[in-house]
Amino acid sequence: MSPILEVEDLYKRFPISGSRRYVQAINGVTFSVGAGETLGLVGESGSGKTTVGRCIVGLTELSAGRIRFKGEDISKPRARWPRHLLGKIQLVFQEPGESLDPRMRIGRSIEEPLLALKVPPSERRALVAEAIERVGLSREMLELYPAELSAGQQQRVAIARAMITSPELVVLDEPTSALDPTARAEIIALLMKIQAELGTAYLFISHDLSTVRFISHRVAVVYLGMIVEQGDVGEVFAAPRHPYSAGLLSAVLLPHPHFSLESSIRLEGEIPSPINLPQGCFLASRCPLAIARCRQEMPPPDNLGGGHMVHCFRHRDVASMDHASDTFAEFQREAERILAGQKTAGPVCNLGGTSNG
Amino acid sequence: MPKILDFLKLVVRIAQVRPRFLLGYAIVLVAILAGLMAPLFSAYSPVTADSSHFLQAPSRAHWFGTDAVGMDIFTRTIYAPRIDLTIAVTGTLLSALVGSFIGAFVGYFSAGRGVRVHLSYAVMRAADVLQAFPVFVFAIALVASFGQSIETVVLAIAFVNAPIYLRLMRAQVMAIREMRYVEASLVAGLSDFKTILRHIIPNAMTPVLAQLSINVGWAILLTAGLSFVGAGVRAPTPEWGSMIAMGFQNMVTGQWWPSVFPGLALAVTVFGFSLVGLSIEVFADPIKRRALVRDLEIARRRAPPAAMSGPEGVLTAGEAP
Repeated sequence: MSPILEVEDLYKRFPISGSRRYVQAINGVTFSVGAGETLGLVGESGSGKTTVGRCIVGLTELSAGRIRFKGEDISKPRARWPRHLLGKIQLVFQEPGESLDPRMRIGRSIEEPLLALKVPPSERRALVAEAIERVGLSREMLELYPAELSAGQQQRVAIARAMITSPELVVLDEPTSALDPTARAEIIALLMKIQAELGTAYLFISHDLSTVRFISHRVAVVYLGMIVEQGDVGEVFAAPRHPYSAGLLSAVLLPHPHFSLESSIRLEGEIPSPINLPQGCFLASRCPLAIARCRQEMPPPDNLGGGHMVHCFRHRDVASMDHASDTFAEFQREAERILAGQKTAGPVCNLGGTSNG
Repeated sequence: MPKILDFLKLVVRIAQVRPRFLLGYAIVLVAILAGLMAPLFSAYSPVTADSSHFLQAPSRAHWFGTDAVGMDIFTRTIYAPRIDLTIAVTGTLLSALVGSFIGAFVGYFSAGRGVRVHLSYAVMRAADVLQAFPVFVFAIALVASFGQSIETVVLAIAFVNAPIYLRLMRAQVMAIREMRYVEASLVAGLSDFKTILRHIIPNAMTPVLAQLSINVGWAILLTAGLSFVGAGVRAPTPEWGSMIAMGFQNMVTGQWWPSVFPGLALAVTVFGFSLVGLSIEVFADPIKRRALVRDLEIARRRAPPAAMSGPEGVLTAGEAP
């Protein structure tokens, strides 16, 4: 499977006004997303994961590096992208309410990407109707204003809008963070259903690890604008090889008494300032395994096979210290078992699609 | 026809929950009608002196009395909106058009890079200089340098108000261009220009519209003020400010009417335009409008159900139930 999105050595720094210094938001990010695949981009707030997404859709200009979509260079302002890529990459924002113009009826918001493609009005109407039904809302809602919808419904509208041009890649920037658990589960299931139907690739940006575990095929862990570990989602979650991934995973609380995520690796302190990046490994100041070498040089990527990459000198020690299993997957199965006992419908995220989200 | 009927019903119901809006529109309407139909209400000429009937107290023949040269005050007071409103509205529209156009431009480009940022900066500093002068002094200076005429007064109003719209629009656009829906529009593939037309301007217009009506009130005041000090419209043209000026010497000797009636007309009209501005703000701002719709709903529930059937469709079209 050849990747449709390739991000190579991406850097982004924001000038600080009134100063000669910079916020170094992204510091050499390299990854790719295959067609129809979901890559989860996880990390703490401020790790730069949103900026990566914004660079890809062309909302933020990158400082260095290269982004290619289906082999074509898109690492330049959006206005200079090749015309035929219009509508091929879409974005869904975190804040569903704010991404819809409050003065515009839902129908007009959904059809907007078609205007850029100069689709004639008659076809637009049919496509809009199809799009809103695909996300499980009724056609009557096209006449409503965003304020009349719930957050979950607004996010469905945002997804309908993103999907209307049949994009090959959708950047989902924390699409479920602003939603309550029920709406979150429905949106995730909806996204998976759409992916199964249309074969859309997702870049799923989130700090919610359980959601990422559930929806992603592969996962990339971002720390201070760097991908410290990436690989198959089951592998990274079951046996993280970077101390940061292990620490991040152990910080999650699963809503079930039998599942706790113990790890012998505890991270201390705060994420360093992206203005004064530390020398060596960015995690060295917080890492219990750090050795002198970690503080002097940045660990190069180490390929563990199967696309599993890690930036750590001591990843073998991490592997031997941590006997973590894929607790998330176990929890998932347990949750499904419990839910299946209650009603016959199978998966955790059962989606009638018509609930009030 | 039923649509108009529904609309009128809605107007009545809004008037019941927000009586001051009704008052505002009534005042403005009366001022406009008075100006338009002044000849129907008065047999006198607004500019002809009658030296045999000077400084007469209000009476049945002269409702508001006569001034020092024998002109009928009532006639002049109702003719005055022709001058005052025309100058104020023209000047305000001109300033809003020019000011908000430049403001939108400045706002959109003030957060980027390159020469456009510096240009935006220069425009803002020029506006600072303009606004640093007291409005009145600045207007007098303009009249002094361009000569005393109605056009100059219009120009003065446009000039002193333009920075208000410039700032207003700039601030609005700067806030709105950061909105997610603006970014969403850009990601959807619309150009800067189309995005400004579709999303930024409609969402930035509300305070401008509200300001417009309030500003017409101020502009009337400025017109009258300039005329009062002799820098605006010349006598005997019927104009409230110059009428007040003509009459105020007589105040000390007890003839209050030449100044008081035009003064009242001026005050009430300015007040009316402020109320209309307030109402526009409420109608155009989704949050304030929601409060109004809520009050309408409360009023409807209190009223006997047969008397009120709810045709607030015009307003609720944009509202959550």
